[in-house]
Amino acid sequence: MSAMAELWHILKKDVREFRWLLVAYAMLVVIATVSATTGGALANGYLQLGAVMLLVVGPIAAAMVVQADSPVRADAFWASHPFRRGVMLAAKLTLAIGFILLLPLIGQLLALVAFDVPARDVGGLLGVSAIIYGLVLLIAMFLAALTSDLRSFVLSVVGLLIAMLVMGLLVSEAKWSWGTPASHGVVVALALAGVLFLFVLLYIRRDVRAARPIGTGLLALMLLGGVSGSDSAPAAPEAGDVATTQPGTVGIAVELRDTALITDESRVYVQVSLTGDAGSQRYRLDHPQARFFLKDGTAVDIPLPELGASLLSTGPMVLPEAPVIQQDDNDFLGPTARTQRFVRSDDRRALMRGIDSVRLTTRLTAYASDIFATLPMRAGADFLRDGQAVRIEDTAPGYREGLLSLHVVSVGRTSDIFNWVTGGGVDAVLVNRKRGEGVALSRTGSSTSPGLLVLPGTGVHQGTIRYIAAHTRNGDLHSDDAEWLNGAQLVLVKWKPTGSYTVSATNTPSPPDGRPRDRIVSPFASSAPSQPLKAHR
Amino acid sequence: MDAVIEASHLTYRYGRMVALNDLSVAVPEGALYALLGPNGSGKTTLLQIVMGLRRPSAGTLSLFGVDRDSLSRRQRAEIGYIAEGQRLPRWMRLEELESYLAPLYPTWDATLASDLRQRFDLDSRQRIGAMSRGGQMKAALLCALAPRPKLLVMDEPFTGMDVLVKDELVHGLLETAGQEGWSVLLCSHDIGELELLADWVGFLDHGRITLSESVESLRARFKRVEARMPDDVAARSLRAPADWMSVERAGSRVSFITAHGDVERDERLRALLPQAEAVEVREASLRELFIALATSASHRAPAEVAA
Repeated sequence: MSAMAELWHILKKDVREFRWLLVAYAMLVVIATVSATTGGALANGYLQLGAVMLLVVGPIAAAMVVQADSPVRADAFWASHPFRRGVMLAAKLTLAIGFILLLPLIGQLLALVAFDVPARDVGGLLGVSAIIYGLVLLIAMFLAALTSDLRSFVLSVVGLLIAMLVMGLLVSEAKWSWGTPASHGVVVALALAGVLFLFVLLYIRRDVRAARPIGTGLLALMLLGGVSGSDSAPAAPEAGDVATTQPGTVGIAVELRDTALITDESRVYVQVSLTGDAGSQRYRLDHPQARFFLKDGTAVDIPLPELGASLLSTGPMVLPEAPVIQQDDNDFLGPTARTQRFVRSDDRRALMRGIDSVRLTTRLTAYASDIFATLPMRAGADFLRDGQAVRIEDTAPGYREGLLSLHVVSVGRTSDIFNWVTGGGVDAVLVNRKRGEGVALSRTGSSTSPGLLVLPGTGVHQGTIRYIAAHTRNGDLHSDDAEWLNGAQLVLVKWKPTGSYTVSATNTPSPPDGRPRDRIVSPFASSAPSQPLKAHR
Repeated sequence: MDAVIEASHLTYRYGRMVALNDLSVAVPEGALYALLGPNGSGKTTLLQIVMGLRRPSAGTLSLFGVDRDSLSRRQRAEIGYIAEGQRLPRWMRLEELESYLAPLYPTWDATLASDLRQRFDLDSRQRIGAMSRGGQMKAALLCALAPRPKLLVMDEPFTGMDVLVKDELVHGLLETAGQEGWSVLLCSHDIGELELLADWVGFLDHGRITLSESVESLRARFKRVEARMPDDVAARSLRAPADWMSVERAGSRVSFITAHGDVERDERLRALLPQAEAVEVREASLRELFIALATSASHRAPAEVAA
C-alpha cells in the first residue's frame, strides 16, 4: 500500500467515523454563509451566531479527528498496526485543512463578494482568515494530541482561554508589559514553530514524555506574544505616497499663546493651525509632540494626542460630483481648523522656568474626499460598496430626534464608516440639487458592535449612526423642511489617505502680536475650489 | 536459539516512578513466552515498549534482530498485538475493521479471519462497541491473528472470555503457533492458562526480570519439597535457609520450594533436614512458583532467586 493510498485509506475512515459531525459542521458553514451574504442578516443586524458556532464546533471536530487516532496514548489502536506515522499525521492535517478550514473559507469568500469588498482586498482578507482559523485549528489539534480525551481537551481549552484573558487584562491595564511589537512577533513565530515541530514529533516518535510541559510552555509563549502584540497602532500610509487628488498647499503654524498662564498651574496654551488653501483635502496629525525649549537651555517633550483626534481642513469641502457646501466657521466643514490645546507637564517646575520657543513634530497624513454612496432620502434606501452596506433606517422630518439614522455593516480591512474619529472615515451631507442647497450632517451618536462574517480575520462592524443637520442643532424647524428633505439625497463622503509625511514646525519666541513666525509647507499643490453652494437655512 | 525480542538494560520512568529498571530479557524465536509478575511490576509497560507504544528512558530493544525504531513496515506488519483496554474503533462493524486493517498487512489471511470469526462466533455486521467485553477481545484477537504474525504480543488476552472460548483459544493458539512457528510474548493473570501455553517463563518484579528460562528447565529446577518432622517443635524450630521459598508449616509438616532441582542429591538439604521422617519432592507448578517468587522476591536479590 503506497503512502498516498494509505492516506486516502485513513481519510476515508475518518470521514466515515465523523460523518455526522462533518455534516453538521457543513450545515453550520452554510448557515453562517447564508446569514452573512443575504440581506436578512443586514436587516436583523445579526451576523454572529452561525460564525460563533463554527468557531466552537470546528476546533472540537479537529480535536476529535486527532484523538480518534491519538499520537500519544499507549492504548491507541492505530499505533499497534503498521501505519506510517507521518501518513497518519498527514491524513489528520488533510481533513482539517481540506474540510474544516477550506469549507468556511469558501463561505468567507462568498460573504466578501456579497459585501462587494474590493477584489484587491479579498485575497489578503482570506489569507488572514485562513491563518487565524488555521492557527486556532492547529492549536486545537495540538492540545488534542497532548490530551487523552475530549473532556481533558475541553478543560485545557478553558484553561487556555482563562490564561489569555488574564494576560490580556495584564497588558491592557498596562500593569505589565515587555518587549517591542517586533519581539512579540518573533516570540509568536518561534512558539508557533515549536508547536508545529512538537506536533509532528508526537506522531513520529510518540511518547514524547516532556511534550505536555513543553507544549504548555509554547502555548503560553504564543499567548504572551499574541496578547502583547495585538495592541499595535494602526498602520499609516508610508512617507512618500503621492497625493493624487485635489492637490493643495498647506502649512502648519504653531503658536505659543498666553504664556503668561505659566504660573502655578503649569500649563501653556498652544495653537496649531493649518494654513493655506489645500482645496478639500483634509489632514490628520499623527503622534504630535511638542518640545518646549526653556529659557534655561533645557527642553521638555510633551505629547499632544488630542491633536490627532479629528481631521483638520483649510477650506470648505469640495465634492467633485456635487456642489461645494459652505458652512459656518468652526463647523466641521469650516474654512480653517484651529486646534488649540492646553499643554500640561508633569514636571511643573520645568514650564515654570519660562518658555523660549516650542517645536511641534508630527506625522501629517493627507486625505482626499471620495463620494462613495448617494442615497435617496427615504427609509429603506440602501447602498453597498467596498464592503460598506448602508441602509437608511429612519428619516425624521423634524430635526430634534435626529434627521436620519443609518444602519451600517462595515466589512473589510477597516470599518471605514465607523472610523470617523481617527480619520479616513466618512462624512455625511444632504444635497438638494433642485434647490441648489446643501446641509452638512453631524453625527449625534452611534452604536457599534464587532461581528463575524463566516470566519474571523475580516473587520466586521455593524450598528446604527444617527445624524442631525449641523446648523440646526439649536435652531427651529422650517416649514418647508419636509419638502426639502423629500427632494434631497444623502451623500456619504469617504476620506481616503493620499500621503503621509513627517513634519516639524517651530514658533518664534512669544510673539507680542500672536502671529506665527515659523511655518512649514507640506509638499501638496493646490487647486481652486468649485463654485460654492449656499447653505440651506 | 535466536532471540526474536532482545531487551538490554531497559529503563522506563513515569515521572519519578521507575516502571522498568535496567531490565534485560531475550525471548527465543518460536517460543511461547509467558511474562509473570505481580500488579505494577512493569509487564504492560514492557509489552508497550516492545510494540513501540512507549519509548524507553534508557536501554535498547531489538525485534527480529533489528532495532525497534529501525523496523521496516513489513517487519512491523509481522507483529500482532492485542491488549486488554486497547481502544478499538467502537463505531466500526467487524467487517469494516477487517477491511480497514487488511490492506496494511501483506500477509492478511482472509480465510483464517473467516475461520476465526466462525470459531469465536462473531457477527461481522455487529459494531465493535455493541459487543461484549469478551467479544471485543475476540475481535481484537481475530485482527491480530489474521495477518499470521511472526510475533504475537498479548497483554491479558483472555480477559472477559468465557471458559469454553478460552479453552478453545488456548488450544487454537498452541496449535497455530506451533504450526506456524510463531513467537508469542504474553502476560496474563490466568496462570492456569499460561501453564498450558508457555514454554518459556519470565518473572518480572519491580521492573526487573528476576527469572527467565524455559518451562522445562524450571520444572527440572524448582521443586516442591514436603518434609514430615518428628513433631511440631522440630518443625517450628527448623531454620529455613534464605533460598527456600514459600515455606509453610502445618503441624509437623514443613513444605517449601527450592531451586536446587536435584533434591535427592542435595547434601545441604539433607544436612538441614536430618530429623525428617519423610521427604516428598515433586515439580513445582507455575502457580506455586509464581506465588513463591512474588512473595519472596522482595526479600531476596534477583540473582539469588534465579541461581
